[in-house]
Amino acid sequence: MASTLENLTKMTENLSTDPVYDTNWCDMPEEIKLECIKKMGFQQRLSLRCTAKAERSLVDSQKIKYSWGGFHMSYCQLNFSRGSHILKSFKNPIEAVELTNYILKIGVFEGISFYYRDEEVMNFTEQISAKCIDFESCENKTVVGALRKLKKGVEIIRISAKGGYEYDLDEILAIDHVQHVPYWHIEDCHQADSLQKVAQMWIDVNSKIGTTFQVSRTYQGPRPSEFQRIFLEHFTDHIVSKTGKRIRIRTNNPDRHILLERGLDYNFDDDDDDESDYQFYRLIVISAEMKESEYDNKCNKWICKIDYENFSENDDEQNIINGNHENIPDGHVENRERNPDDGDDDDW
Amino acid sequence: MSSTEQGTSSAAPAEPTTAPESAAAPEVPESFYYVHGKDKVVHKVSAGALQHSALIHGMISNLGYTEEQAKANPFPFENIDGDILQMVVDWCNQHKGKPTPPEDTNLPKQKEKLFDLVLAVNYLEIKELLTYCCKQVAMMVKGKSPEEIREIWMIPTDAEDEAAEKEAKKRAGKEAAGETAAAAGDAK
Repeated sequence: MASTLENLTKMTENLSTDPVYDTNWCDMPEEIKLECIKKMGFQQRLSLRCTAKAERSLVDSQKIKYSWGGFHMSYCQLNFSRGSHILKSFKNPIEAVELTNYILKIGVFEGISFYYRDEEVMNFTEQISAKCIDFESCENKTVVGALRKLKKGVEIIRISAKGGYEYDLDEILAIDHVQHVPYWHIEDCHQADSLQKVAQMWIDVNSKIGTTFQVSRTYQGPRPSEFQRIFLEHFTDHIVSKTGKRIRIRTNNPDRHILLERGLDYNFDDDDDDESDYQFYRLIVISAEMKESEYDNKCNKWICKIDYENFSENDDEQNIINGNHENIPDGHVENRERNPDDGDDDDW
Repeated sequence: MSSTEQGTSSAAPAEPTTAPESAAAPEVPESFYYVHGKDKVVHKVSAGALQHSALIHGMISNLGYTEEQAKANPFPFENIDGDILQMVVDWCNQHKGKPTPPEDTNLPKQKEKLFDLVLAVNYLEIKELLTYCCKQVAMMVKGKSPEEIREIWMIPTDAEDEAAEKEAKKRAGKEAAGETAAAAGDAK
């Protein structure tokens, strides 16, 4: 027991030689300051980092997690939303670029979306950490700039080309993250060669099974037959099978095929009214072993990923076509009788 | 104060304050330990309550001495104000054997006390209480401008920092020069 008491004496000796604490923020150890900063919201951190250099470097060393962050930039005004909104106007584009990049520097995003209309403020210098990235009617420069700054780990890329935006697909497809992302899409795509270019890129990089790319087109874009024509012409020598709704092609890897599926079963003719209808395409890397009987006929399951505003996973295809988006049990869709019109389509 | 002196002062401790204990009576007799702060007031705390403090828990698990011996040798925390230690002890007793709630609204609102509590809690390694305290510190500057934060937390501006640094260097230079001169005088 004597040794126990000696131990206690030694321990307390060490404790008691510590100085009496001051009670000022500046006297707090760095690790405590960092703990406090971790508990602060974005605005608090911004204010604290403006107090002094030392505080700035501390604040900047801390990441802040966001489940979602939206950057809506227009004419030097940043609307950064993540549950609540931060609306900030700037005197010049440099300030706007600085704040955007600061948020990107400290932010770790589950999802992030960009809606940039002013190219002057578009200059990403910081790496972007996000699992899902959305672009809403952005210029090519914004899309390419942000994709190039993405850190590894992106799982979803969603590009909306609403408004007639066109992208330099060669530039985009050369980006490593795009080549390896499991899912991406272009909504309201105006580029009929997109399917062919993505499929070719996948062949070139030997993409994994399950890798998916989807497009939707509108009446403003090229006719559906254009998407299909370009794809077919390019892959004439690769075709494994071709049915009304699907084209299957082989890749350079004997284990993998690429399947192009058309969503919704419209009968296209030269009637201009029909041209205004939606059309969706899905490109997916599949196993070469996959049988046709294993194809998933419930196109609504994948359409709702690209147009979740208008379509639900539970919508029946015929209801979608009729504009009647009632939710019906999955089993009903699965077991429904085959519509004679679902058969091979002369378009393909 | 040396460790021997502390040992002496705690050998005849003041009457321990009884802290409220919210947990149900344990089935087996619980062992108690004693701690005191700068004011030498000894607090009796159960081993269960002290488990919140990784520092004290670590010390206890390395010791294993009787309640009498523990009473005779309270853990001295000379660097913690008595009222702050009281707060810590109260919190440990209140949360003995209970899951900690997401918020704790009973923390002090005054800046000085809160900072003292933060430092004491950090020192005693009470993780959950430290989380609450840091949250409370962060709340102090919610909605405040940089100028207001500077004022509340007495953060010097960069210019003030630089001036203080220059002054310190100047003083250090003078002291060094003084020491050199003194050493030269001694040599003579």
